[in-house]
Amino acid sequence: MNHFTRLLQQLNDRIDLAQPAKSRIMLELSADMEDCFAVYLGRGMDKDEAMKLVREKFDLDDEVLDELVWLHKTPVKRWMDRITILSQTRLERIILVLVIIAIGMAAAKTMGNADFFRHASHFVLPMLGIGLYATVHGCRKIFSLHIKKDHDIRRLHSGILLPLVSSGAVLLIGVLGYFWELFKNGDWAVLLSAEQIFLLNAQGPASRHVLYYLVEWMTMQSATMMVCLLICSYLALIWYLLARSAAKIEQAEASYLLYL
Amino acid sequence: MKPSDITVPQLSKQCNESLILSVLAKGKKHGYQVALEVEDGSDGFFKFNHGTLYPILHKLEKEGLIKGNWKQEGPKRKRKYYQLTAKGRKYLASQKESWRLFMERLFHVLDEDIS
Repeated sequence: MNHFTRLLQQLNDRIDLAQPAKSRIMLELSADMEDCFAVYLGRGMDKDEAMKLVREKFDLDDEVLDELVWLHKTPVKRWMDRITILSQTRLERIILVLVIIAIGMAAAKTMGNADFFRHASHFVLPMLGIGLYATVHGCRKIFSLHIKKDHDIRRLHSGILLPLVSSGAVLLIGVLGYFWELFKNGDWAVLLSAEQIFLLNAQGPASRHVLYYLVEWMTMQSATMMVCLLICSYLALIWYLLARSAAKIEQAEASYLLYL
Repeated sequence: MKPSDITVPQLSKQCNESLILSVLAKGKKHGYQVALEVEDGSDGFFKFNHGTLYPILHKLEKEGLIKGNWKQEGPKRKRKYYQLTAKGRKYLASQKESWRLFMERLFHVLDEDIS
């Protein structure tokens, strides 16, 4: 455990740099602080006095931090850092792209059919709306984390849960629509005994009506539930990737700051 | 006479750069070791403020005059060691010459003033 965690955290907040450049600076400072502290103790200072002196010596002012940031923020360095990050998660990114393409293709193939939306219930509209909103939100967060490199600890987790909550909401709407379409006519008794009617006397006029109704409902619900489950999976995937990215960023920062 | 590269407005910065390079000419060292050696070598005359140390080290590294390498020291400790590059060695030699010229001119003026 580093003796100067608080000072390091303060410096970390003040250095406006993306990873991994920021971590490298923090790591260098952290190790030098410990060495300086050991030297002061070796010179016979007591622990408190040594810690105070180290804090004074390493409390870098804004001008110095700006200079460091300027040094590390040249276009070439930015490009190099981006390449480094890309290479670190290349496999993950390829898998992510493949999964998204597969989901997108499956969805496009099914939903591209005009009959699909004609058969689906009106419940798909709020589901699509929520899905679109959460996707835009997820893209903005990915942009913020990976392109803009906003790794501020106070904003790191904000909005990450939204795709998951949206996924739950979509599932709820889907289930609600499932039962609503089945019981909307209020013909509960007939529908609940539909199976018996269908099995015992499928030729009767009343049974044919119920049968027709059930087939129509099943066609509608298969389309609706497909949209529901696709959006749910898609949003859950976005949430998983966002949460994983944030956790990795946090873990890297914390380990550099506190334990190295 | 070859004009000196040392300029008065940049005096402090160039002095710090030369001190760092001369310490690193003796072997690879990490940031705090550099500061400590400059301080000890000058009997405490040159005290390195860490505020100035890191930007200079990083600038010299960026210019290719020194090279930083990370080394694992123990299971949870990593250190960045700096060492002089061939380019840095050449630059240090030219800086030494520039400082000599600068001091000569300075003393030339001071001696004239005294006499």
